[in-house]
Parts: sequence; C-alpha cells; structure tokens
Amino acid sequence: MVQEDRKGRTSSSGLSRRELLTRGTIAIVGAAATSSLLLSPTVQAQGETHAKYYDNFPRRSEMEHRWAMVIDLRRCVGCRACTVACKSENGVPEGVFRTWVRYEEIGAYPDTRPRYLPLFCNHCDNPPCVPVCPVLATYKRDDGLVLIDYEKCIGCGYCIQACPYGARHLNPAQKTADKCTLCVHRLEAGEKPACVATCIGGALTVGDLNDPSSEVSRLLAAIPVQTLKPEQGTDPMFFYVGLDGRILEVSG
Amino acid sequence: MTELEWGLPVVAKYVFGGLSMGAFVTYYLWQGFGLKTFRPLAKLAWISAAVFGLVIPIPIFSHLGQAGRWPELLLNFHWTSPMSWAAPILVVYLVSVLLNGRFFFHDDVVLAHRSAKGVRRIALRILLLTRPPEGQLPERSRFGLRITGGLAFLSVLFFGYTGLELGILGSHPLWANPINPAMFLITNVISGAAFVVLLWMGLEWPRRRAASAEEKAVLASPILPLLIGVFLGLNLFVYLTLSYAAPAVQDAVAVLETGELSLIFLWVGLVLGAAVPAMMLVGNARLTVPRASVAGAAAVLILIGSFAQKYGFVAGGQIATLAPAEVSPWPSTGQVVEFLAILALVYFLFQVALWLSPWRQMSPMPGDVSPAAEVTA
Repeated sequence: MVQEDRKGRTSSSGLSRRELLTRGTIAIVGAAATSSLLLSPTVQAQGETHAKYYDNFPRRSEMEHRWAMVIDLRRCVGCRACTVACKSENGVPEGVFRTWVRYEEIGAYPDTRPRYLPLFCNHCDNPPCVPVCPVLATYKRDDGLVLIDYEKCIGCGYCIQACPYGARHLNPAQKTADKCTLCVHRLEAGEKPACVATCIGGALTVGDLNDPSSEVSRLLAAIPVQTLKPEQGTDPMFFYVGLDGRILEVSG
Repeated sequence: MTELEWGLPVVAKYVFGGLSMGAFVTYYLWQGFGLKTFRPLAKLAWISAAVFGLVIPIPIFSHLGQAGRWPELLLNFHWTSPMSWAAPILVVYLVSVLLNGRFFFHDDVVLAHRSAKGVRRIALRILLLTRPPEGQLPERSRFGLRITGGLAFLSVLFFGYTGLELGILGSHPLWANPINPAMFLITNVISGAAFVVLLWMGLEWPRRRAASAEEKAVLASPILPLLIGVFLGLNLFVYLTLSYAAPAVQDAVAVLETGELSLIFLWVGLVLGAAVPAMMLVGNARLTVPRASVAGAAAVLILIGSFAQKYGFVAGGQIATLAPAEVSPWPSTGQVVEFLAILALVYFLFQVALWLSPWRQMSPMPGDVSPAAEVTA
C-alpha cells in the first residue's frame, strides 16, 4: 500500500517521504558510526592485538638465537662510519639510508655540546610494520629479525607509514620497501654487521640474548638501558645507553 | 626536501573512491530506499558511480612501487591489514555495481539497441550480456537488481576501510583515530552526491526553462546539508579532543590548525568546502523556488573542499611526524600531471558513458509506481 506524508507525497515502498529520508540517513550515519565503534578497540588495544598475532612465534627460550643490539651513546663520536659502512655493504642507493646518525646540540650557548643518536630498524618484538603489510612481504623471523621479501613487496609504503622510528624507506632502485637487516648475511656467516664492525668508538654491540655469555647479555645485565618511543608498545630489540628524555621523543 | 611517501596518488585513490561510492549512495537512495526525490538523479548517479569506480585502480597502480605485483593483493588477504581488505571490497563493489547497472538499464538498453547502428549497437549488445528480447519487453525480474544493489551498498559501507587504513597507524598521532572510517564514509557520500547534482544540472538545466516539482525537490533536499553538518560536528569533536591530548598529538593537530596545511585543510576544506556550502544549501532550500545556480556553486565548493580535506589530512598526518625541512607537503609536478591525466580519462569515460547510455530517457525505471497503481492503492 502506498502511504502519504503530510504534503501528500507518496513512496513506492509504502513509507512516507519523511520516514524514508530519516531511515536512509540513519542507515548511512548509523552504519558508519557502528563500524567506527566496532573497529575502535583494534586501535586502542593495538598491543594486545599484536601480541595475539605473534602467539605463534616461538618463545624466546625456544629460539636458537635472539639478536639484539646495545648502542652506547657515551661512546658515539658522530663519525658516521656506520652509515658509510652500511651503504657500502648493502649497496644502499643514493638519497636513502638504512642507518644514519642524528645530530643535535644540547645546552644553551655558550655551554653547548653535540649529541649523536645512531638510528636503525629496531627489529621490534612487536613490530607495527609486519601486520599492516597487505601482501605479507615483511615478516619477523624466529631469531627476532624483521625482514622484507623483496620479491613479494609491492612498494605500497604502508610499512613505512606504520614504523614509528622512520626506519623504513622506499628503495628508489628496486621500488620496494627497504630497511636495516642487521646484515643478516653477515650474522649467518658468523660475522658482525658492517656498522658494528666499523664503529670506531665501540658504541655498537650486537649479540645473542639467548647466550648469557654474549657481550650484549652482559651489557644489558650490567647497565641501565632504554628504548626509543616505549609508549608505542613496539618492544624494540635495540637498547640505548645514555638516552635522556628528550631523545626518547625523537622521531625518525 | 623529499616528496611525501603517500602523496597525491593516495589522495586521488580516496577521492575517486569517495566520488564513486557517494554517487552510488545517491542512486541507491532512489533505487534501494525508494526516495522519490532522487529519481531524476538515479541514472546519472549510477553512471558516475561506474565511471569513478573504474578509475579507482589507476592511482593505486601509479602509487605502487611494483605495480606489476598487484595479484599479490588478491592472494594475501588477512585481517590485520586494512589495505589487504581493499582488493575484495573493491572487486565486489565494482562487479556488483556494473551488474546492477545491467539490470537497472536493461529495458532502456534493449530499446536503444534496437534503434542504434554501427559501433554503438555493438557496444550496447555487449552491455546487455544476454540475447536482447524481441517484440514486447517481457516482465522484468527485480531479483538481480535487488541482490546486486544490496551487495554494492553493503560494500559501500565497508569503504570505511580507507579511514581505517590511516586510523590504525599509532605512529601518526593525527591519523590514529577510531572515528576515521565514519568521517571518510560521510565525506565520500557528500562529495559523490554533490558531483551527481552538478553533473545533472550541467546536462539538464540548459535544456529547461523552468524546473519541475521533482527537480525543485532535489534542490531543496535536506540530506546534503544534514550530512555536512554531521561531518563538521565530528571534525569539531575530534579536533577539540585532540587539542587537549598529549603534546605530540597537539603538535600534529597544529599542523592542520595553524601550520602550512591550515589553508588547504581548515580554510578550503572545512570552511569554504563544507560550512559555506551547507549554509548555501540550507538557505536555498528555504526559498520558494530553489536556485540552481546556488546549488551548483555549493556543489563545486563541496567537491573542492572534499579534495582539500583529504589532501590536508593525508599530508598533514605525515609531516606532523617529520622535521619541517625533511619533506614538502605539496605534490610534485609529475604527480600533478598524472592526476590531471586521470581527470582527462574520467572526462573521456563520461563522454563514452553518456554517448552509450540512454540516460536521458525518463522511461519507467525499476521502482517506479505508475500513476494508475497509486490511485488504486
């Protein structure tokens, strides 16, 4: 039956124009709002979601290796040899970096001093770059390394946006996402990563957390360390000695 | 200074996707919800939804570093990445919209096919998919129309994934906002509806001396200003909330409020492109005879504003986390040329669609109730 509204206008679906208008608007706005509400816990409880995502990964004790790095800022002289060594070792194209050193001046003139902050992919335990990859090209290995399958990556840049440390870039030569691999090829050959091997101040130490006698394990047991942006809940595997509050806020 | 990682091509994806789904919602207000006010817009709205839908993949491919690997998007669906939802949502949306058009335009296309010649006849035959009926047109089944329309409308609701793509990124304080999907959906509907109204006026108005009652009802419809009001209200809520959040979040909001992007986002996007046209449309609706020129100007402002909001939001979210000297918030010349090329393609596709389709025939459409039926009811 066709209904009439106050002005006598009718609708083929048997509802008045006003009712249909109201229902249509409610349908669109309501669906949009509901989807937001339903999806909001994913955002708010990101840590929990990611933790579940990684439930299938072997626990630390079950892994043969658990790679980590300690960066002692008290020993960094800002020479950028790590940046150069990384570029050379991995053939990183011009204009992008897998490893770089941020320079800052602290204090008030004339009592100022330089401060250097080497930055890398933090190979997070809870990496936000991995779950967002639409083609599952980026993944976390059992030994803790976060790597990219360059044959699969479509270069969408989603992982680049997801990384809170700005550690990823689009490689202009291969047109895929790229980042520090902790020189996985050298680690597997029993060598230190290029940046660690070349560091003239001995500020970089890489090692296996599963080996209590490793240099990294001993440093972490002996010296207080901090990680970058702990509020992001990423659980980085790169630990800094001598970070202060201001550097904690530093973005990539 | 380097380019934004997600620049104009990503914004273009959001803009064309929004225009398509907004146009489809405008069509579905008549075809699905039976709102008679939108009957005159239905055919052009469906055409707009199809044309913009067909160009959505272009900016996506142009943005991808390895566009040739796009099948990976179809093969690796997983819930944790809203970007991986894009492939099934877009495929279902596009296929159901195109099939829906086949059912919606069927009788018109059959009649047009009978009188057409040459290339147009071949093209219309292809669009029909099945053998055209001869003699009197048979009674149509509305099952296919309802199923495909409902499926397309359902996938429109899932277009909120575009807002979620940005909303789940905790690394960008400006984007990390659960209300994004709703904001994207609403602004998409607004821009798509505005485009359809503009197209309809551009094609129909020069031919008419006086607007019919049906056309006046379109111009006086409260839906568009209502949705703009909801959108502005959500914006106000979000930015007021963020303004009192952590210092890093406040800095991010300042990029859009007072920073380099405030002109494009706040003033062009929200004030000129939303608040002003909403007032124009409300004022126009209160006139005894709503003016087409006012509605047209409002629609143009809405389209400009919709683009500005999206660009400002996408660019602002990125530069808020970087040092000002590191990246330029503006598109490169190459990106602008590429965008203009896509617009040229859109224009060409509209010309083809309008040439092919019998959109001007106001023959009874599915959902129409004949005057006799109304009287007897």
